[in-house]
Amino acid sequence: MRRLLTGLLLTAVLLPVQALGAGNGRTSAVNPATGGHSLKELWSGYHYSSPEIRNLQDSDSDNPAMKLYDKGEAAWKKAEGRANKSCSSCHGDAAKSMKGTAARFPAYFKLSKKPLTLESRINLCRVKFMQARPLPSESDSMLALAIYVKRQSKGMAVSVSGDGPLKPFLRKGKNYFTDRRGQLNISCAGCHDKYAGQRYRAVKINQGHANGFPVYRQSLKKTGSLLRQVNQCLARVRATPLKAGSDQLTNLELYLSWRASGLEVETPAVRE
Amino acid sequence: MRMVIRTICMCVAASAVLLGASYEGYAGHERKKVRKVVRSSASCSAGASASVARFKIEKGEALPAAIPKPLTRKPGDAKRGLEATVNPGKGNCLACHHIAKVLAKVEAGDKKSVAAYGNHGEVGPPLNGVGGRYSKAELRMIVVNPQKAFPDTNTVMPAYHVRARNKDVSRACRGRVMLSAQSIEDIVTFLEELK
Repeated sequence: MRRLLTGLLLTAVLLPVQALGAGNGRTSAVNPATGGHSLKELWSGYHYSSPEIRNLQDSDSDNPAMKLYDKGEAAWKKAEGRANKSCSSCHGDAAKSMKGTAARFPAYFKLSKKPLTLESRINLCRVKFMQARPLPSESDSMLALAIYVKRQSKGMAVSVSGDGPLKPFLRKGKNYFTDRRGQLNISCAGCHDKYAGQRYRAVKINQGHANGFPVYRQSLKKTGSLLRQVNQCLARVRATPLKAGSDQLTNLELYLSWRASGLEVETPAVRE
Repeated sequence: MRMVIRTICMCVAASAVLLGASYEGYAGHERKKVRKVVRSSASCSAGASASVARFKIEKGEALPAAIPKPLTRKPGDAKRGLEATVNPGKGNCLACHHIAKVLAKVEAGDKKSVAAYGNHGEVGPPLNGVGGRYSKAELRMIVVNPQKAFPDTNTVMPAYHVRARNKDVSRACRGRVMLSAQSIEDIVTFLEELK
């Protein structure tokens, strides 16, 4: 009898937790999908944004980054390079072939012997199969294509296990996140793991998730990649910036995606 | 290509450092404008200094470490201390701490004064009454190197007068302290008066 009662009590306690796990990270918390997590519950940057910013993200017609989506759609179909191929020549309809891609990137590639970010993967395709020039980081053409591809996974849960060959890279990314650096000697974790929800001067600190990039920043009036955001943080602690396409950035993005697993892909997100 | 990326990164870094932590300051930048900023600033930040004062650490009353003797011969000035506390390129204490005395300087409706004195962070404890909680020697230790003052807390507060031997310090800030000895004395004098 007592065992039954304890069981019932346990279910009663666990049920709301499970309900939390079904959240979207914007209006309800998400339980970390992966073990050994530094956060108890996951909240998207959306949760820490003002109502105006949320409205901008919620409406496709108002979201300024959606202009790039249209550009990306055109780029997807445009043949380029010496091979005279487009993305669609091989991948067909992005709505089918790219569905879920953003949720599982950065992914490990045997040929490269390391994980690649989606942006690096796009450039690999361009150079190798289209025989076209790689798109420069932060250029409108790269942001447009990244937004178009990632958008196909909108609403799907980020799911990066970091197992198998990814393990050593995940560890490096975690170390980058937790090591103190810069003249201010502060780690990413020092703010985003510990003080999310609290103000740093006029800004509300968020959990630093990578589920909405490329992101339109209202204060900058421009869409940008994860690299732009990371380098802005690094500038604040007066540390050396990361380079586009560098292994350090890829490993960090891998760790961030592992850390954000369970949150929904929100590309293109809008933030302060 | 690599040069271009490096230049852009440096622009972003320099502008954010120069304009401090406020998003408003960083907002609406155009590449041209940022380039100009970089050209005019070879330094790390408004408050950074290449010279480091010598000081002796002793045991405090409330804290395990304190610096009883001033870092400079010239006494600190509370008014300059308040400005350094507020300035994003200097102490930027406001980024993490609430200070009622600073908030009182906000003139309602004046955007400039709100931006300068109005936005107080919540990361650290409020500094109201801090002059009553710690001696001047302890306040000096906290600002110079908080990790020595609070050894068990793993605090995120930066050390303002320790030559940076940290990882990945930006090129402009390498070998520099965040605040000059004089600014430390000014801030400590300002904090001492918060009773």
